[in-house]
Amino acid sequence: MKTKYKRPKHLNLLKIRLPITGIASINHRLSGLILFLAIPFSLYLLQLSLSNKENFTQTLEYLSSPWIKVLFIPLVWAFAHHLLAGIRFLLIDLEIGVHLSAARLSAWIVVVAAVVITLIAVAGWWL
Amino acid sequence: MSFKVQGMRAWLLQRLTAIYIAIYALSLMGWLSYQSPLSYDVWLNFISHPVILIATVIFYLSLFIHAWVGIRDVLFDYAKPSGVRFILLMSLAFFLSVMTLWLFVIFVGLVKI
Repeated sequence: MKTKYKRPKHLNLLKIRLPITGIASINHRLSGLILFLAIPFSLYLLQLSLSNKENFTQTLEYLSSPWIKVLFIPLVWAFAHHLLAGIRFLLIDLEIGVHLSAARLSAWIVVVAAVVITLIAVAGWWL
Repeated sequence: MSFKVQGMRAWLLQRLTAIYIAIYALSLMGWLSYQSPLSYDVWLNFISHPVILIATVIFYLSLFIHAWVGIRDVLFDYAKPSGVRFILLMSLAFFLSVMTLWLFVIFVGLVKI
């Protein structure tokens, strides 16, 4: 598509006001990236946990250590958001919730629910 | 899968792998919470079961394909200079190849048991 006029560009992150659907979308990318980075760690833990009984016990100890739990917080959020936003996108592919008001509502639900799930997980670990 | 996943095929692959990944991940989490506290023997027997073993390998392969399409799309949007984009895509392909190899090392070890 050719445009002869200069389009306005607002790439100053402080000036961009992303709508909620945009936030759901960019968070989908961010959460996908976090989950991608977790792949080698999941394979490492899988290998360690299956190798022998001692390493299995050690894997469980790793997973229950406070530092790993801190690392797990963004991972829980990423999993929850990526799953929920993914379901939302699949539903939109099926032409469910395509209209703007429905798309905005579902975006709100996804963004908020992911945070709530993360908070519940955190509360479950420390309370 | 050919190396260049084009529009429509990438779109479909992304969705099919997404559905499989979601079903597998949620099922495994459900099983793990049901089995808690987990013992080594139960865990090993579970993963070594042929059906679960194949399902798990398919899960990881789906994850790698899903990651390839997803990260590739992100790189197309943000890594504009073609040289940088090419290097990053090659790094991604290399990384996912290593992960695939690692996956098979883990599961070939299980089959021997």
